[in-house]
Amino acid sequence: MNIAVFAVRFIIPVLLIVLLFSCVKNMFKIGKRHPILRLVMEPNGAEFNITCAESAIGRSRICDVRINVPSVSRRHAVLTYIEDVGVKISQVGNCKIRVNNKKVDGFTYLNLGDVIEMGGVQLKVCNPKFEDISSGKKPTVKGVIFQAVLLSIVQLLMLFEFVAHYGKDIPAAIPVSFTTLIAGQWIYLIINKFKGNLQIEIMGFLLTSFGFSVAASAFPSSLFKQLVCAVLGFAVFVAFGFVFKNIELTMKMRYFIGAAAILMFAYNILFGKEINGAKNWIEIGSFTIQPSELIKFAFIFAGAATLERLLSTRNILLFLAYSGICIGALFLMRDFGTASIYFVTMLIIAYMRSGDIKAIAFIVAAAGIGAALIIKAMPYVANRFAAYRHAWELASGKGYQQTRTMIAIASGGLFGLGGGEGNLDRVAAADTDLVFGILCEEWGLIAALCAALCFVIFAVYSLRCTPRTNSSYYAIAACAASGLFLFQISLNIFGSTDLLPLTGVTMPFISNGGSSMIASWALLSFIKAVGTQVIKEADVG
Amino acid sequence: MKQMSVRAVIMLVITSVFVAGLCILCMFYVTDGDDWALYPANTHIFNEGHVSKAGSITDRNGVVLSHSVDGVRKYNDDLLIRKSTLHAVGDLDGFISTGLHTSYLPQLVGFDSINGVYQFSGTGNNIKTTLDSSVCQVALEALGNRAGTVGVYNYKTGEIICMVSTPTYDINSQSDSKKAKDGEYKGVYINRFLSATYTPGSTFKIITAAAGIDTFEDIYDRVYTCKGGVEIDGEWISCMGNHGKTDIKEAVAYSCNAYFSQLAVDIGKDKMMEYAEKAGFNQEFYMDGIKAETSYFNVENTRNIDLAWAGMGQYTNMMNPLQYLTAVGAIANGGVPKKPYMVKSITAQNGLPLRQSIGQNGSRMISKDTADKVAELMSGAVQLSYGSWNFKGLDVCAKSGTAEVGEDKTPHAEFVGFVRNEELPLAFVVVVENGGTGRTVAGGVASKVLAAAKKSLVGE
Repeated sequence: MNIAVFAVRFIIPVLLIVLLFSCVKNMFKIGKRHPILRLVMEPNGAEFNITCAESAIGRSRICDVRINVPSVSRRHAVLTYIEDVGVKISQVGNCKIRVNNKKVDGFTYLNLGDVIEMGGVQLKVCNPKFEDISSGKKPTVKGVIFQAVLLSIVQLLMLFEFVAHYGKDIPAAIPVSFTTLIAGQWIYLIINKFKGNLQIEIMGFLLTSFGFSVAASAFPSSLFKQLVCAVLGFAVFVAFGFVFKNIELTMKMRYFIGAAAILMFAYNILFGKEINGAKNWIEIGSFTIQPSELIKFAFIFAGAATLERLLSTRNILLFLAYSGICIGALFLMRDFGTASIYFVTMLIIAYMRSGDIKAIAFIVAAAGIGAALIIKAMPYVANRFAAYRHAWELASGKGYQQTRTMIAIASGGLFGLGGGEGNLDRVAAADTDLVFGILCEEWGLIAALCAALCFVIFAVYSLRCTPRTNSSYYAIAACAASGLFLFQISLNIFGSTDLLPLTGVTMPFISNGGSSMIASWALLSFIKAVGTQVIKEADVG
Repeated sequence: MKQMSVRAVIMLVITSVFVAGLCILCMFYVTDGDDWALYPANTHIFNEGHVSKAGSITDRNGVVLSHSVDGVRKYNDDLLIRKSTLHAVGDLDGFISTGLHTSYLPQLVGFDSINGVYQFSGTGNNIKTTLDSSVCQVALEALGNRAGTVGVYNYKTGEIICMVSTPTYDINSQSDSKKAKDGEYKGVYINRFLSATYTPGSTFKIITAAAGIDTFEDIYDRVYTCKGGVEIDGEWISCMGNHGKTDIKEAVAYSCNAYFSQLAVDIGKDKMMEYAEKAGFNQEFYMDGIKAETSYFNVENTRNIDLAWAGMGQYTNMMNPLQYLTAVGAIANGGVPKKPYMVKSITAQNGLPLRQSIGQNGSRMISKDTADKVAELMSGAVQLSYGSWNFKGLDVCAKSGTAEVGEDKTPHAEFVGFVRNEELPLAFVVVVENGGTGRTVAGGVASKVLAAAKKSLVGE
């Protein structure tokens, strides 16, 4: 037994590295999109092969179809490809477009042979030229099965370590949760026939297993709740996967979800419950939930927009006002850590929508001054940061949690002490705010870094898929969600290790907490969406 | 989508910042990880701030000096062994910073930055030292209530046999520990063998003699006159006796100040500096990676009278016992010092050897010929002056010192030397602070310690 546990310590990190490497290899082999149509400019015969789902037409350098004629606006029109429907052309603002000599009011659908006229330039809609797209390989079924097997081995080894640690007295929740997770993920993968960009889910399952391991070590009694919430979160993930396939439905839902978020905040402020100084809990029956976690999803859902929308309504004031309400609500709830996460998410969305770096700089400066004023007016806020960079001097006071986390990290070494063998769980909030310490102590620095690396992969994946995704909406949402993840784990990891002030935010998927688990899976659906349609073959042309 | 693709690059910026943060964290893990893990709040290895789960420390014969029993650190049951090895073993609060409990804590608890505090079996690693607790015990008894230090090592292998520093205290006694904490024993937490420096006094004359042998071919015919002292630069340096015309053999044997002050002046500053530094003065010394206090010798830009005082071990000279023991060992070992060490081996609980120390040579101090000549002079001192009957059955070469430490203070008694017997190649240094005459006081301690070492190591 002893030797087996000893060996498992080394096997898990190795498997994790292989697993992530394999995932990355598949995820970043993205094929080119099939071209949708071809525009031929009259009279000079210039050709534009349209491959993007959303293409801007205009004089500006960043337009996909660049027509460098003074009578054409910088951004003149938008082409949008809608699956199973067709391609529509929309005017930007008051820019005039004529299709087959008919004035376009708003938008119209295009047919082969149509002639578009704008600013004295004529564009004929033709069949696209097919390029050789064989270079882009689709993720193979084999790859997904390989990853699923690795993942399951890792999960079983985790379970094995807990069995070794607890012996006969192992709480039933531990084997039940892990086996349910393993069975569930295989069923899901089989239903999907191991096809598609399933690496997102596989990494989600991996992070969820880490979340289970934290609960199994620190609070086995909370593990059933984590399991139920993981199932709920996954259901949300799958449901929105269907919603995101229909961009028009998605756009319609924005308003409802945006309004629902505000209502939830309002309910929270009025009837919320205060736990640990922040009034960010509400009770429903015997359950307590943290709305601010769930609203993260709604915030991004309502904040992202399609290219057509972005170009027709250029200003982002409405969005900023909406963000202001959300962040203001969090201030009222005295949940400053979460408020800062919303703020950064807002910045990412605002930048993605407007591209206006000056406006963003202005917002950051204004927020900085605001924060300075708050700290001046309320010295106790600054007092919370007193231990920052002085954790070891205040090791038994304000630096208690940070120093214990660092002790745990060093104690675990590169390979960890084994599931359940850590001591950090004796410290308050270890399973939420200091969870990186528990990961390091029990599974080792390598495994913990692999967990952090998953979020890096999500971010780079969002970036990588952006040019080929079906709508700017998905690009903005995925970048916002992965940016939110990265900022939140930065606050969590670096806050608990004294590289940043300790703010007490959770680590998505991994921290013990039901609302956090559901929200994490919900946010992951954006990242799934940005890549989903990439590999679908276009059906026009 | 071109526009979105350009803007999405912001993700690369955010990702880079995060990855940079992780790199910084890993860097801190590498540089500070041992401090984090060995912080006394780490409940994996500490219990209420005291190291609890760690391997044992034993002497060369397997006598346990300290070990952990049920999460509590226990020292040897014998009072004298406990007290005499305290500075080698260390206390539990880290006050004795050179003790193994502090300086070898990572090894004792089995921490390294790859495995953390993970232990395959048992807790921590066992450290076997080169010390002989029975010799240490005798050294402590011989020093009695006086402050000082005794160091004995094997000049052929480098193994430290005895390392005792006084005052010491009984770590098992709460009242004695409290006295130590309250400062009733002066400098009790300092291991004087490693962390103190003393005026070398006449013991330094062996270095001057070595320089003299190499400088003057006719050294044995060279005679200086002692008139109960000598006048240099108009100042009088007094001598213990009126030795008249003295050659080097008599000068070493009777420790003639007049002879050595004139010899030092004739050798000159440069050569004196060279030989002092070769002997380890002004050089950094380490034992098992633990840094010792640096010895000091400087006669640059000095007058002849200062050079004369320096040549007989006064002036600003300061010697560290570890360094000086090494220098004496070099004389015994044909001019090349063996680096002293105390950690013989480190072994995991399952018996896996993690480290095995072997003696390493230092850089040559003097030629073999010179070393043998100095040894012969020191042997003469024992026969003519100190009395070979004090070291029964042993061929001892030695030099005493009575270091003046201030007008109205009793001088430090010092005695350095080595045993020339094949089966007992030991060098020793003894310092008794304010002990009086080196020859009788420190020499007496050396006599008892060597007898104990002979009994323990050779078995007679």
